[in-house]
Amino acid sequence: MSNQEFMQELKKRLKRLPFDEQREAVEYYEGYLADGGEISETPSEVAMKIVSEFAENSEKSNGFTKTWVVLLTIFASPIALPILAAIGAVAFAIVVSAGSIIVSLWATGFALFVAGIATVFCACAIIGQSIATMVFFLGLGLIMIALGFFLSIATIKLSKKSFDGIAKLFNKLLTRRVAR
Amino acid sequence: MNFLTTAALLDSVVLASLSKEDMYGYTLTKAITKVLEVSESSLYPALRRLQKDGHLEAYDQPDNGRNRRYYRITENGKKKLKEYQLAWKNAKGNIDGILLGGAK
Repeated sequence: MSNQEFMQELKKRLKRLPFDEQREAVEYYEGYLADGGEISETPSEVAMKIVSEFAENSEKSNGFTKTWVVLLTIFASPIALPILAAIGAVAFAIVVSAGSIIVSLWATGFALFVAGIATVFCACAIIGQSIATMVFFLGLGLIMIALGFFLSIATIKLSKKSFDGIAKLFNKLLTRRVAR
Repeated sequence: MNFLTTAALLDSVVLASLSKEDMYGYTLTKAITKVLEVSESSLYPALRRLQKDGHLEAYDQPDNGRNRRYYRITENGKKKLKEYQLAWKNAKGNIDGILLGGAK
């Protein structure tokens, strides 16, 4: 493979990185090859290492983008080893199931919140009929609002943690061979 | 044989090389692959990692009509290198002790 072909392939495989990261890597390898440097690996293996490093160490990216970058790298990889495909499938399944659990928890919280507000309104509506019933429903409504609110907040916190965790797990799987 | 291939060791050898002189990708790769059994493509991620951690910095300098990106060690990097040197001494002593047995 000529240097030009190598760079073309490499650029293609780095497309999903932020622009600055791409440029930095491309300039490094252009300089390296221009100096007569040799590379014994394929462009996709080289790209894989660059992307893994980015996913692992980028300060800006949160758990979600990390997971995403790692997933995209797996699918972009032409080596397409069965094991990589398997890791990818598992990662995808975990992300999807974690996502659905989080969405359903959040929906529950939101529903509680809305129902609580409705209950408070109903309580106000029956004020003329029975003060005791009104107070009962008012209390019930406020409790629902509070529970719904806390459940929503907790879910958001939980989702950040779990995506971070998932990202770490798969980065470890992928970057175990980092120094090879 | 493939004894020494951890990311920490790679980082320490890179820092040690740069503590002697500033280097660019090609010369640095030559220097590192001579002492460690790592592939050429391991260098860039290591450089990027060290750069993000503030252990080294890059600067461009014209060389033979084109720009070369040189890397130089920072004060932080020098501190880190001292840590690595100490860790290496300890690890080396421990491994020597068990691997070379009685030869004290």
